[in-house]
Amino acid sequence: MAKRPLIEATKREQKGSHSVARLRKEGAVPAIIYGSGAPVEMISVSHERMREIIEARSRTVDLKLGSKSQSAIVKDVQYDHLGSDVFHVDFERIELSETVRVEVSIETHGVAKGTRLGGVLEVVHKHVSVECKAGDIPNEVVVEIADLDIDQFVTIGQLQIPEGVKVLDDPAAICVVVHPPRKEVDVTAEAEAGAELAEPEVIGAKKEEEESGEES
Amino acid sequence: MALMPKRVKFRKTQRGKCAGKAMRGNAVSFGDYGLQTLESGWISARQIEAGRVAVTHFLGREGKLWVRIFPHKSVTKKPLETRMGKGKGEPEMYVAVVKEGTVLYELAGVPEDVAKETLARCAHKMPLRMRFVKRRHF
Repeated sequence: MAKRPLIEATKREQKGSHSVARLRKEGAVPAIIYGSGAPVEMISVSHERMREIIEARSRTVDLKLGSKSQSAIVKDVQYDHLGSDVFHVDFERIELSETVRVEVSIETHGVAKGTRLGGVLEVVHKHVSVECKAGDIPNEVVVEIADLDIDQFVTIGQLQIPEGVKVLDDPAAICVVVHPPRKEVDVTAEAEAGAELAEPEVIGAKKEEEESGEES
Repeated sequence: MALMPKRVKFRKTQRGKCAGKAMRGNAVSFGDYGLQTLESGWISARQIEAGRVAVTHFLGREGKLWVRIFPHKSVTKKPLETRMGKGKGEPEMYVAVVKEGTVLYELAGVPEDVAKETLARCAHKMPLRMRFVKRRHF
């Protein structure tokens, strides 16, 4: 079970792009909290703290708003165009005993035996859909790949999932595979071949020629 | 073979603008690491190919590379020592229009330090400022 981080939030009254831009300049992230039949509240959280939570991949947090603390799930995170700053966060109020469906990232651990022999490791599924209690959401699912030889794979059914977590994806689906070595590509020959420039076909150009032929 | 469209509706295009920021294609989606542009501009088919060759040459048979951009736009040029007028020149090359934040290449199946070194070599072939990025988890 993942440890829940605490994040302090403050209520915000103003909305609109100018006021949230001001908030972001001050090092805060505009956010919203909803769910559990309670009214929707506009809040702001610390950008630095939010980055820490994202890096730790914690799905559930203890959100301290004023004097009361409530558990919430990070429902959605919006980033800027460069993906470096968090622009907005959606939190959903949740009971820790409530069952939720989330996507958990798959992480590989170790260096596959097959890659040392020239094989190419491919992580086909980067996420796995799971159903579990909100308090039991794992931060990540780790796959040990050290013994994986060429042409060997790990299916979703073989993943070591913590107790109380149910996988929703097809258990036969391959999530990590080591492909055999590729043929050596002659890059110089390819580059030379690329030097010649041909023209692409123009859609409708032939029709015009035909039409002009008919006219004459 | 240099990248270019197979079929086009019009052979020549107007130059256009590269205004704005990349609102899609700005995150690492296929691999684990990526090369992201920090400026907007044109990247020619030759430059895209040079970047790909630089990666393939350095990695050999290791890893997997994705090229996320394609040169859809034709750029024309008038022949040297030609007087102005007499219509638009002939297509000279094809370019990809990229906006600030676009992820151009993605890499998987290699350790982070190797990916950094590889994509740095690739970035040297590019006409714009680039940076190394990693896949986001949520």
